[in-house]
Amino acid sequence: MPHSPSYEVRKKLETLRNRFQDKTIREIDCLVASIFNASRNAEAVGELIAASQLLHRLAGSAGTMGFPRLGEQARKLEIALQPLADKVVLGADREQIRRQLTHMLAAGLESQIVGLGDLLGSAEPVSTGWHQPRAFETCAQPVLLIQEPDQELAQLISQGLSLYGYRLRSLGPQEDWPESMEDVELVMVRDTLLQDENAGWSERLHSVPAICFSEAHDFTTRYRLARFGVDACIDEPQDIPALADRVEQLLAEGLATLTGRVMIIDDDPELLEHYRLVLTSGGLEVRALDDPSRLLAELAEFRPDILFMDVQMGHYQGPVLARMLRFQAEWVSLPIIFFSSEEDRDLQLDVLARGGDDFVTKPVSDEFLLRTARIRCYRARQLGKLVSLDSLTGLLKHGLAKTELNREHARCIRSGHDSVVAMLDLDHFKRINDTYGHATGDTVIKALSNLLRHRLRNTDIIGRYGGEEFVVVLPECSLDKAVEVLEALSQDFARLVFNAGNEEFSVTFSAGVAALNAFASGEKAIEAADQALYQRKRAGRNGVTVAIEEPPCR
Amino acid sequence: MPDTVLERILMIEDEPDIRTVAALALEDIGGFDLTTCESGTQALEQIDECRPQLILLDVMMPGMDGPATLKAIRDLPGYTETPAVFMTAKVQSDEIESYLAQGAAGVIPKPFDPLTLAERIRGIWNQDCTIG
Repeated sequence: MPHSPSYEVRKKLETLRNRFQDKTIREIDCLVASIFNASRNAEAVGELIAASQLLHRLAGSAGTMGFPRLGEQARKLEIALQPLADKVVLGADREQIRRQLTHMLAAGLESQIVGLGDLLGSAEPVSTGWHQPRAFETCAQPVLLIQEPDQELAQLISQGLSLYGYRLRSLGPQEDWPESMEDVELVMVRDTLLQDENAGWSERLHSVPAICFSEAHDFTTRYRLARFGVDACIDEPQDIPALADRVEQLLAEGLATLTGRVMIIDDDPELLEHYRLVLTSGGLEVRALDDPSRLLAELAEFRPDILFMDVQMGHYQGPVLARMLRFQAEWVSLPIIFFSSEEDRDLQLDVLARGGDDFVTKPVSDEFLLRTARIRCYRARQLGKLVSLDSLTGLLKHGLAKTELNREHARCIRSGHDSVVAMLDLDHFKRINDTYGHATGDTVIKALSNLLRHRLRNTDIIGRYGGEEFVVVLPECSLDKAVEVLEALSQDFARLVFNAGNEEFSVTFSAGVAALNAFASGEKAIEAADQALYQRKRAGRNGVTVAIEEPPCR
Repeated sequence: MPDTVLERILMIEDEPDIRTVAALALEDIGGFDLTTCESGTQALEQIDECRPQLILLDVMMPGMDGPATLKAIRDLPGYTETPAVFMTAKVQSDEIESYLAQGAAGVIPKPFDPLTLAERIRGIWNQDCTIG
């Protein structure tokens, strides 16, 4: 199997990291020796200069090489030792420097210096430092790892999940987990295989989302699995739609905590650059802006989760800008946080009343800024989801789906590309609800939405239009291609097996499609797709019908 | 949108490990044409061979440090406007301020993430082009 380029890059990085590790072990030994030497012998305090330089170098490089904790510790020690090294350079009394060093070592520095080497030894296979920005994931083709002793079941799960568009890699029960787990997005493993805690899996289980197949419901077993870092327990993995739903949830949770889009507006360019650096290095996407008059244009383009703003920027006032933003419905819910050096509570309240959400008081520490931004982004995304996404399926709600449809209609008319809208409806859904109950009906709806989300492109728009009705917009896609894709989807969906009590059943859906740009409005196109859907229902369901284009209206 | 696409980068960094990682990050991931130098002196000798569109410099280097190297490069004909980006293990507000005052287009704190370095450089380049 050919590896993707990103895999190659990751491999090379791994090699480099090992080399760095070997070299740095020796360097740290020398460092420890020379610091102790300096503490015993005033003539040797000159060695502190080189020691401090090495610490500075490690502070800068260890994180990049995959040892963030070593880097942080080196930075602390550098800050502690730098004043002494400076004194050496300035030619201060050597004996006095030596005494000061001895004192510092006794006060706790000694154990920290000796402990440096340990931070290098405890390299985690996938440290967060390497993992954080997931810019890569789009081309890395992540896989799900499955280890299930029952080969038949493993096969069934692999096939079932691959219908949802996941790629699976199956491991035999005796097989060791792979050395590098960087392309593994999620692990599924049978509980009986998690016995020997000294085996390679135990530390790796903490670094990826994990589902455990386990029929044991007793406290001891479950507690043990939770301690291993298992995220979910499933006793019937053969229920593919339920399993796929859990997989989908776990993957979505992981992504949500890692990303966030922040816009900062401040008229002080240096401060702005500093904020940008702090937030970017914390893994957030940042757009920094020093000219308030470009705010609206930049907002529309960048679409941040939250906005940081100074209270006073030249002749522009932050609170007035906030009020101005609230004129537009789309920015009413955007969280705005002000930087303010005002200690005056009344003024702050006044500002909040005029459209702000919170304050951070200047000067703001880097850590505080980053944490505030992260928490705010996370909350904003959670709330945004609640407002705009359907709670059962996680797809767009009716209203928003329609807005997006109209936006794409305008876009394809303007640029002249082909786009397609499709209406989907589950066949005989009422019968499913009546026969097996609403919970089972919900499972079927979730299964179709997961399938759509997985098999369609990220740029496609998928909404839950009504009870069992879905709308799909495929931008830059020909009608033929859309029909091909939807037909494949309908065949795969029909192959999914649902469980209700002791019964197994499968479900089909019907779809009507229309070329967006052949209609005068998004509204008209959706009506046409709906008509086509209706025709498909009358013609026997389970399949795709293309709408008749409306006569050119000019 | 900038008129010109960033292709050629010159990087000056005394630490071999960081040079190798950056080469990986900028060549393999970013697809840039990268020339690396281990010192300011070497950079001054090689700069005309690679004609960089952007210069990436470590701040703290033995001999000629980052700011001194940049100053020497600025004195050469043809590089007075070339965007320069400093890499530094110390990120204090006043430090950044002084680099920006010296005409740096951006500052990248160390440690940097190799997987996103190219993207950040491209971001600084685009920003620099829109302003400049």
